[in-house]
Amino acid sequence: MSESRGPYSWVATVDHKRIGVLYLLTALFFFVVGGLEALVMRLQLARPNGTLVGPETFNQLFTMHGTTMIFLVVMPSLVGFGNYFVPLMIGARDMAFPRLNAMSYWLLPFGGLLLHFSIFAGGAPSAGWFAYAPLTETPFSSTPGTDYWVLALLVLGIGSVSTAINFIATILTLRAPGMTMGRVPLFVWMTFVTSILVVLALPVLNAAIVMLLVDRQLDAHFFLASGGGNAVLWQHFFWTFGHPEVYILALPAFGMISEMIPVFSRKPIFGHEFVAASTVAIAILSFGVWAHHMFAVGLGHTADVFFAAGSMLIAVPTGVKIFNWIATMWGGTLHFKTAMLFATAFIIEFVIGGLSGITFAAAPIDWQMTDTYYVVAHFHYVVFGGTAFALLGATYYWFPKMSGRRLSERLGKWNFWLMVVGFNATFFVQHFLGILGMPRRVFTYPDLPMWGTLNLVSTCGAVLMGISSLLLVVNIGWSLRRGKRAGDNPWNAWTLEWATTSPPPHDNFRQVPPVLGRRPLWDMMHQTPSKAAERAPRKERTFDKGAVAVWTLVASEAGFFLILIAAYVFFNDFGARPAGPSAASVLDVHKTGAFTICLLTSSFTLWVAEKNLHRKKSRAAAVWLALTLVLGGIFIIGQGNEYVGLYQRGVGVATNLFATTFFTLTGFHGLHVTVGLFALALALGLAVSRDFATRSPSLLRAIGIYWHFVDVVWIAVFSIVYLRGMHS
Amino acid sequence: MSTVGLLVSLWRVDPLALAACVATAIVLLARRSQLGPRAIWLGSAAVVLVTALASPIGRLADGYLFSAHMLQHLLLVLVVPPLALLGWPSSREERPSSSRRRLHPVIPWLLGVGAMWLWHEPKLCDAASSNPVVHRVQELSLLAMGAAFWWPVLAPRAATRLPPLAGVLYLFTACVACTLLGIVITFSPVEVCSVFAHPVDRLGVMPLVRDGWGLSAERDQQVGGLLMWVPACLVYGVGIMGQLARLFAEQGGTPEEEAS
Amino acid sequence: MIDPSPFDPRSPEARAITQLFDQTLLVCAAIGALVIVLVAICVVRFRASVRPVEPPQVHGHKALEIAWTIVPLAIVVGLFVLTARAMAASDPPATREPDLVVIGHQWWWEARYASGAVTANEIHIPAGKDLLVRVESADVIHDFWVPQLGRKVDATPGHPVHVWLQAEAPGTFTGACAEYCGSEHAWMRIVVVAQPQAEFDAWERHEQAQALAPPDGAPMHGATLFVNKTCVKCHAIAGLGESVAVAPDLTHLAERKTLGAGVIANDPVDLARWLRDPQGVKPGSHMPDLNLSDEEVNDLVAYFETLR
Repeated sequence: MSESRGPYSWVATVDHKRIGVLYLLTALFFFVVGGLEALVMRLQLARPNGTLVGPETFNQLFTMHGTTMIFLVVMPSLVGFGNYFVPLMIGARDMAFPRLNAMSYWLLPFGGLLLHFSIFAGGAPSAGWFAYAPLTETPFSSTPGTDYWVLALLVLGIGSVSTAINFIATILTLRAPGMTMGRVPLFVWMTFVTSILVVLALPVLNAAIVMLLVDRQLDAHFFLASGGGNAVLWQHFFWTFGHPEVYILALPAFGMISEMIPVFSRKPIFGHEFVAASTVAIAILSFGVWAHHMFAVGLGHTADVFFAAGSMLIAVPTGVKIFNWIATMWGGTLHFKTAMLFATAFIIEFVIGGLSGITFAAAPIDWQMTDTYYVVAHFHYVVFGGTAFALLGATYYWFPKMSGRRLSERLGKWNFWLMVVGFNATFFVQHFLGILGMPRRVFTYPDLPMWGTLNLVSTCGAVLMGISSLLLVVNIGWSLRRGKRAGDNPWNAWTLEWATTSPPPHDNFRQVPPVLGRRPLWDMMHQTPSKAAERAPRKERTFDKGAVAVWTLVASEAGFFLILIAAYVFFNDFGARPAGPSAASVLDVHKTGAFTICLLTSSFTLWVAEKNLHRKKSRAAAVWLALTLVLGGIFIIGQGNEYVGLYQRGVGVATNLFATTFFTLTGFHGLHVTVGLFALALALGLAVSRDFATRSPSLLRAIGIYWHFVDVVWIAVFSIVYLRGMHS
Repeated sequence: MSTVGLLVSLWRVDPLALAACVATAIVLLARRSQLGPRAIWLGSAAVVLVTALASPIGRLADGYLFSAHMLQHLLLVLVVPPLALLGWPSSREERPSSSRRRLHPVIPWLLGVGAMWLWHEPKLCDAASSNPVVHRVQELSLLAMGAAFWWPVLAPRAATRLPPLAGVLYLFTACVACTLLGIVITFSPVEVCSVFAHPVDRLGVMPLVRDGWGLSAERDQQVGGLLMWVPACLVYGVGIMGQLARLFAEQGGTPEEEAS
Repeated sequence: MIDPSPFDPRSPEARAITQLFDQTLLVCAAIGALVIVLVAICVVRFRASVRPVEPPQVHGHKALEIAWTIVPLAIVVGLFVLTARAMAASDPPATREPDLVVIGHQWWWEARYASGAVTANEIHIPAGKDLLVRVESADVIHDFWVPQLGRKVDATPGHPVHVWLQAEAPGTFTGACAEYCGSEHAWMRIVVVAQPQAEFDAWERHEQAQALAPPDGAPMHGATLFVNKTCVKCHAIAGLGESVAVAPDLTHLAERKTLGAGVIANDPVDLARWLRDPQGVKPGSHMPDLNLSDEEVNDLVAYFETLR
């Protein structure tokens, strides 16, 4: 198949490699944008009482800088490398769902545009990247900046979740023979774990920002204390997402480091199992420690003690990784190419960021140092000194594979040294600024002892980082045309992506090499294959990629509904009940009960339809499918009828928190039922057009899983809202 | 009463714990050769069981402290059964897999999660904390449900266990379900067990607990919820690490590693 | 040492935190040094130019893995014990009604004493006495933080919290709002003035007193303007009719050192600048530009100077 060319072929592409490159280029573009925002901030802060920009601009700058760097730079570039290299590393021809992959990508520039469009619609968002309510509520942020922020994050969130589903399906179902889960390269393993984190964490953010949007657009009061809402709830929701997000940003970077260090040390990774398992440990712990971001709120010592303990524990699996990386280098033969330089600096900088993280796990230190420049230093050591350094290293490591040419090592060394000096100058002194009492997010500061000097040093460092970034862009531009030819395997690496040409052909491999261990190319060079082949592990179970995808989607959606239900329970069952209408006073449990039976019956009819289809009785299947559609339709009509009745009695979304939580929860459920109905109608259409029996069993099965899930959610909603509501 | 006094004096003879100890001792002696190093697991299962039932934890769980009750609850479901399963004597050679179908893992999963949720239904929790007979039923059912829950991942015969990644999923989802309950209990302003709000102080320990330890009824429930939330999740996490160890042992091996 | 740093603690609570910080930093520095030394050794000893050979292919070492899991775990447990102790020492539970309520506003601090005294941004306390402070918010989330005197705590609307405030010896301690709260977050600074008990009592008594009637002439004019120009709709001056306190209480304005929560000094020149162009001095603040003439500004300044 001939390679198609021209700009349109890039727009229309579904090739994982091209999509990967698109992700990376988009990330690079936004890196420049976010970097310039940071530079302006640093210039403003270079001297006390600076006047380069006003407070409003400065606040927009740091909000946009944080949002851009996290959602438009780091996540997309990790996804970009994943897109390009995960299929190659596991010996697959493409991602599991190439079209979904393209859609996920295009949501990224769309989300980015939406975010930046706010500038023309009355001002960019200015409430900080964690958007603490009530500052984000209409009384305190009346311009639409926050609305654009919410919409952009929703779009980006949907893109991230669908990519994550794609990664999970790809890694579970498309591995080459012999490439067991115990053997996949660590970058693949960590992308897999990260994808699970994305699937579970992003919906929490989505649910929270949907609530914020309901507050802002429909005058509700989820997070406004004046209307009975709760500002702390936003923080709980946000950090339930936000802490796993930290590891979403870090884990794939760990994976890259775990690929580069062995190759440039000429040794296998030390303790592969431990590096892999510690990743899972980190992922699990990351969901249980969010409240350490909230020590300053004053939640009480009981909670603080447990969260301090949980947070400190994360140091253990992280330490395991660090020691394994060092042990990999120990006794090796180290080749300090630019990629390895970045990887080495990563270890040290990440350790510094991790250690200052431990001081935040100790609640009393957090009570002093949180929300100061000390925390700014801390998370930049993690996200820049860690993740960004890994990304830069990965760029030097994988660029030859993607372009066929190496990046210039000369410029690379300049790039590296300027970056190391610039980065540490910028952020190391910020530890001291925090210790001297300088709060973060201030557009200027009084001339207190040392503050001016340290800030000036920090600004100079930032300028160096800017120059270094410029060198990277120059290097990429120059090397694309003039760089040294790379050949298939310029670093003598061992994973499958190096077994094909640089750049790889459209279908990746002419023939996937045999996979007999964790380092297939090493094995090819060093081992007599016959003996190894005997030792090939027993065959793994194979999965259906559609089923994997739908179950993953269900897990993600479950997280979303869980948060909506949590909000309902919080406001209606915990603490003072909102005045005004309640479940007991306005809901008709019997009527809704009847519609509930319709919905539950529809799960049964769909199951029968599936059975019939399985037995090749298309006609009967179509009839049962139609019945399912009718029953689902009746449910929706019933719910619509209930809504109309409530509105006629004057119960609207903004009436009180019962009404707000009720409408949000049941409304989103209704939306899901409606989507399910469309999917069923589509299936029915296919059934009638007779295209059904050949290709649709797995389609109907996928729709079926989704539909049953929606019903299960309704059982939960009905029990919590209607049944419990009646009895209390 | 001082804290040390409490820790020393509140031990009791518990028939269930005693029976378990005797049974363990018999097994340890009779199957000594078969068990080998696994005897440690079985022994620690007995020790933890005694701690849960006969130590001050067991006494305080009888209607005094919700957090003590929670600790007992977690030990019985999450610690004793897996330790016992790990130490269970089984013949080394694998018998050919029987034609009997493996139980669908959803059932033990529901039993394990049910053990958490069911006994924290306010009425059941109250009954168990005030009525000795119900309490005994609770203890036994927790041990049984715990054993059922851990069976699919720790069954003595490896062939009947879930595949490692499925085991990870099994444990992770249970962890989520358990965490949810922990969160509800921690933040709920409503008492889960009203018995613990106003204990009948037959032992005379409440002044120490309330004033000495600063554990008000409200805080007591929070500690209970947090115990279920954080440490319980760590147990599942350890289980998940075990599953990963299996995964890498089964599928990771590289030729040169095995050659060396 | 240096004024607003938590490393110069001036209360038992702050001292407990600093001690924990010192211990933790020591442990962290040791670990960090270990890592850096190990990496440095690798770089020096194992670089390809030194040893251009194929190294032995070592895949791992179980005992080592267990060691570097257990040892960090032990360190973490130790740190946790220290942390739990420091928590109790640095943030004891509230045991009584608060002595002082501090309320965060966009972008200034209101302080209401149990005695009835009210002030803004400059909080006076008796040295050597532990005061219980309730921290509240009137609008968005702020954070009350005076590093040398103890922990910071968020002022969350609908979620009042209690914190102990003490200075062992007389002195002036600065702090700031630490939670981003909108445009002028940077200028929401705090000054805590710790005085000997007698001095503090005198201050508190004085603070409870009403403003004196302004002398005739410019100050009298200023007072009239204060009412007519609607200043009184936001700022309270005890003794000058009824008013709502949504903005700083000005009864004893002239006693304070700064204006706009630290943005400029409180002297006649800056005060005039503030009245003439509040949005230029503190952009975004809720103080409106009233288009005052120079003469009006002078009269108001003259009046405010009498508010001692």
